[in-house]
Amino acid sequence: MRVHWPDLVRTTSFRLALLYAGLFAVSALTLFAVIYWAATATLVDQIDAGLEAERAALEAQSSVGGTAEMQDAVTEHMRRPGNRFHYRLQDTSGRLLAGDLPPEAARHPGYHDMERPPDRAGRADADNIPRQIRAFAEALPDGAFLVIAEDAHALDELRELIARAFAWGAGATLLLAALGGGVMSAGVLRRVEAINRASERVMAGDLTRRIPVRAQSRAGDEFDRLAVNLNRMLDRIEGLVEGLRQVSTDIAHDLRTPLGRLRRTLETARDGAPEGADPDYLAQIDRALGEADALLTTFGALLRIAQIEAGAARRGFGPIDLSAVLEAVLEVYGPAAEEKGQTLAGRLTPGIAVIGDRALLTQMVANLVENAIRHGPAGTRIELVLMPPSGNRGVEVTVSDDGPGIPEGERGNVFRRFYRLDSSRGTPGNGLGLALVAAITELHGITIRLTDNTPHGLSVRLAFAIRPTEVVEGSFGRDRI
Amino acid sequence: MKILLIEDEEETARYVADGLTRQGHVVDQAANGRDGLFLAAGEPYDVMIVDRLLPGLDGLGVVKTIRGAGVKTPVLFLTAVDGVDDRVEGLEAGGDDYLVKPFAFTELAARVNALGRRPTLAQNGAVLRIGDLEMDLSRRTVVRGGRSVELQPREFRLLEYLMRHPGQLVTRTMLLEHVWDFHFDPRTTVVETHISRLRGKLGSDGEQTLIETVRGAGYRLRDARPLA
Repeated sequence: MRVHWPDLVRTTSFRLALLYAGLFAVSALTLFAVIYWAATATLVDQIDAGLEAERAALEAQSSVGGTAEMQDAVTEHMRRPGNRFHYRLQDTSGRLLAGDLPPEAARHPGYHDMERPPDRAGRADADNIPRQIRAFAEALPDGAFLVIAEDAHALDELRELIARAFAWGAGATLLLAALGGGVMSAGVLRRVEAINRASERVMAGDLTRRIPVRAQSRAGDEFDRLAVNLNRMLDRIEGLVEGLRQVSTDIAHDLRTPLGRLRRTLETARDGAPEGADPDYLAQIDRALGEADALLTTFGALLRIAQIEAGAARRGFGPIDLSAVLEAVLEVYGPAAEEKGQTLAGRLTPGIAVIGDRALLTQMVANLVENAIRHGPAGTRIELVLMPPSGNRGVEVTVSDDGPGIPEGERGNVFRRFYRLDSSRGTPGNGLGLALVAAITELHGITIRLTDNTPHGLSVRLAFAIRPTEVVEGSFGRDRI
Repeated sequence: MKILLIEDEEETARYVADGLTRQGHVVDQAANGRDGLFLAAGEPYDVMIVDRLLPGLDGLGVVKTIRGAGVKTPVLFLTAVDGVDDRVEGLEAGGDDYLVKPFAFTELAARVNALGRRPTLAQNGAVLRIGDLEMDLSRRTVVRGGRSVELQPREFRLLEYLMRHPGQLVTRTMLLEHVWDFHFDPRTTVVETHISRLRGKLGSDGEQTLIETVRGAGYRLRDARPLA
């Protein structure tokens, strides 16, 4: 089965996977925030501790408290090898007394982060001072202002590292969640699709179809349970339908016996009538016999339909010269049509072979031609056409007439058993002719379509499946209808 | 004719046997396959009527067995169900004809008569002659009273079938099956139409109608010598 992505996106499991990915992303974000905060706070604490220690050292060196001592102390610290601090000592007017920090580093007292803008040349550390610094500022008792700063680049790097790690992690998580959701959905979809396909087949009439259930050892998930339950339901439906069919078949079958007995009794009564019996009396018996025969014919047709529907006749399938079958139907019914003042003509491509049951295919075409003859008034033209397969279409038989036709709304009904059009209730018939045709077409995989014949009348098109046909010999009369 | 009837349904058996006896046939009966087989093997019969569904050995088995033993007696199968391929199965097993229950007795009798008097191949001449009607099978020509009659191929077969059963009742269904190979009952009067056309071609004023209608049953080709 092919998975279509738009279908996939609509599936419940995919949406669940997406929601799951979203929730996962939120929790990852929270985790990131905590890690980010904890890691940077630790580093900041370390830097701050260093700054505090440096301030204490400077203050200890200038214990007298004078600005001049502090100036000396700063200058001395700057000269120490390995010194990692930067300083600015300025007087109350903001004039630099000692240190290397620019004036903007002297802000309010306390700790603060600072990013130096690049200088005019665009070089941030031309004066050997890092761009990212964390500073501690303090007003000295005599009004001077001291700033101690340390390179905060590491802090920035840490922040960036955590953020990047999180971005990659979140991206990968979402991707995996989406992929996982897709795979999960595809798996689920495949099984739902199997159920769908099976139910479509069942709806199309194949009541024996069942939903596949995985091997017993692996079975047991919800889908298997669903499949098992649906299959049980289908078993039951099949049983009921089968029972219904069986009942009608049984009725037809069981009533044949008493009807046969009735027929036999009537026959005995007629044959045993005394010499010189009242002809009216004999005619009555004959009429009763006729009625019994009509009933038997109806039951016979019902049984035949049931049997064809059961597919028993498929065993008798073989290659059949369809052209010859239609030729025979033309020959048999031509005179009957003429007698009613109608014409029956054929355009038959010779040598067309199909796989099927000869007797049934004959009856199928005969029933359609008979219908046209019986329901058409005098002057009706009936045409029987046999066309060879071409391209992607199989053999086609068309029975068309310019008779009264069938109203469009009734076309789906005429194949039902005992269904008769209002207009044909007056004519004899049991309403099983087309039901039998439908059963035969179904058995042979023939598609039957009723359409209007122009300008009026009915056209019945029988399209054989492509596979079992072949043209036996050269053909003529391939002209289209 | 001497007829063997193998039928387990008592009522049908009685009905068939009584009817055939009244027509002057001698009927032996068996109610199951084994008895039937025993009778069929022991005595020569002109026709056998065998029900397909029998207790024990079924009808198909009986006929297969006697055919295997070289018995060529014509067999008419009776069946309760008009199976779509039951007919073919019956014929393949060695049956010669097939009739679905319930049936009109006249239908059964007509078929039994047709089977019993079936000409064997040796008797098949190249020319069939009934009264002043003459059919040349190899040249496919028909002459009546010295006048040539033009027939369509199917009309020729219809007349041939009638001429092979002269004087016998031939039912509508027998004609449908043997002449047109139709194994269902058409709801239009096709047989009647074809017969009346054939009559029209065969007979002209002053001549007898050769094909008689037997009311409610079928047709019969008159077997009388031509009137002088």
